[in-house]
Amino acid sequence: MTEGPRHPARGRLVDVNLHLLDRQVLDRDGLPVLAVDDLEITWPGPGPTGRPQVDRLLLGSGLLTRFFGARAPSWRRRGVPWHDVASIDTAVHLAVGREELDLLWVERWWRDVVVARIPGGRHDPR
Amino acid sequence: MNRLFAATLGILTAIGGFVDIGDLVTNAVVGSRFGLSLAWVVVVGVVGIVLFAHMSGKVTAISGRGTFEIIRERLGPRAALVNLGGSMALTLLTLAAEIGGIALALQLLAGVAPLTIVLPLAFAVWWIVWRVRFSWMENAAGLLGLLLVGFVVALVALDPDWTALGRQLVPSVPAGGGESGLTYAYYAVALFGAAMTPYEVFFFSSGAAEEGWTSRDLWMSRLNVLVGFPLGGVLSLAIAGCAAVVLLPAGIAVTSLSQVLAPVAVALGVVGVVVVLVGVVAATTGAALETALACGYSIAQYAGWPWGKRLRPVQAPQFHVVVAGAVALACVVLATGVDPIMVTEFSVVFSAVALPLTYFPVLVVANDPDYVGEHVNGRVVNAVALVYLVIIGVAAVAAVPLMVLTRMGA
Repeated sequence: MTEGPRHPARGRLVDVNLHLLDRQVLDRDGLPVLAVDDLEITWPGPGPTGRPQVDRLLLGSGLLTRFFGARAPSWRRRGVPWHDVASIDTAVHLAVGREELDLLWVERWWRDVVVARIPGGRHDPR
Repeated sequence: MNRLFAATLGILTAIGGFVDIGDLVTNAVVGSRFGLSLAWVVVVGVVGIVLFAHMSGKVTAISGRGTFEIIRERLGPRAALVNLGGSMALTLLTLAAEIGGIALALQLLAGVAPLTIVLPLAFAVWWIVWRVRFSWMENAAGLLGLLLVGFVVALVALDPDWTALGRQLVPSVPAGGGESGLTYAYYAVALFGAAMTPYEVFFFSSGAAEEGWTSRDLWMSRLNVLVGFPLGGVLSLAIAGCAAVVLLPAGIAVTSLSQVLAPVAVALGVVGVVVVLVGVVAATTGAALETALACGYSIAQYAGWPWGKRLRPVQAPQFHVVVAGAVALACVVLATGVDPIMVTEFSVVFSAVALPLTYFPVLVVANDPDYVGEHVNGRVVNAVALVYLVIIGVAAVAAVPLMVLTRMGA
């Protein structure tokens, strides 16, 4: 497993298109969170000295604007900050658990309103 | 016996590609019109699906990444969405056909009116996905589906002129049968598309994850593809062979499930028909489960949601909502009163989109050491796989024009 952004000095070439966008995101226990739909990038200074930085991974939002352009209002953009990323291999690993992520409210809504109410919804199949 | 149980994932996967309700009828149609002159297509299809199913199983077992996660990563969200649309249309139509197919088989077996039992059958399919353990599901559906071996027994019992039957194996349009080269090509593409239908790899690779395979279990993947798909191919050829021996000389054109079973009745009597019908019920149920689950796996993997029957439903809520939604939509399709068997023939259109966009990324990632470590494809496998990508491309381009020109093989 390659070291991620918590050790920026070590340096590793990450192709945003190949290694970040559309990758599966896993939480610290290896459970699926969502896929990387888009990135938020900040550009601190003008000119070639100001390095662009990945600010946030957008998860579960941002796919439509990626298809069609334009910019979604900030309240519609859900994501995790870059400093929560622990490492990147065939998936993007977060340093946080999925229960801490508010952006999973859609999944929780389906879970609480629909699936948990059907008999057997909490049944362990194994 | 343990080995047989170990291979049930492959057997169940193959049932969906070779002997689901659409294929049962198509195989018999082909046998009754072209004899065994299209048998080579089944062989080509078996080799192709063995190669690519093992690649997808290998990638998932080693890296943990599902096939549709890989499709999206490699093709980007747009092309992957096109593939998802095509694959889901195809898979959903097949699911509808299978539920209708179980009803048709039960009608022949027990005399129940098919439309009255569609809803209970759909509920049963959903309930199995919701509640039954994956291994029980695959063992029951896979092993009971093997009762279709009755077609092989029937072919042997019919004791045809084997040398004459062997002569039919030469790829050619049968002379004097009134068949054109175009209809021959149409059925060749339809058989190939069915053998390589993409929900097989979605189901097989995700099934590998359901069973918890790791890099130590690659032999399991090999065993499953090498037992399952050739077995599916043999069953498919036996059905065509039975039709070639009994229906072709009599000039009977197959249009229904009962005609598919007629050669079994001739060879083995009522008992044989009952046994094979139980096999048909199991195979169509297995194919219904395979396609319902494939819908859930594919959409969940595209979106990045948790998925799988190994989790409690509350741990993968959206996956279960998608599966339930797919079953419900399949009922809507059936409620329109369409012929379930016609439905599967239409789905060939969608495989034209889905086939290349599925197998290309699978081949690329099976060569990426980041995913499979030392188990990257060998040169021979890659060479053969590249040839298959060309065949898939040709079949994809030819499918729709052939369908239009031959009016679906009429």
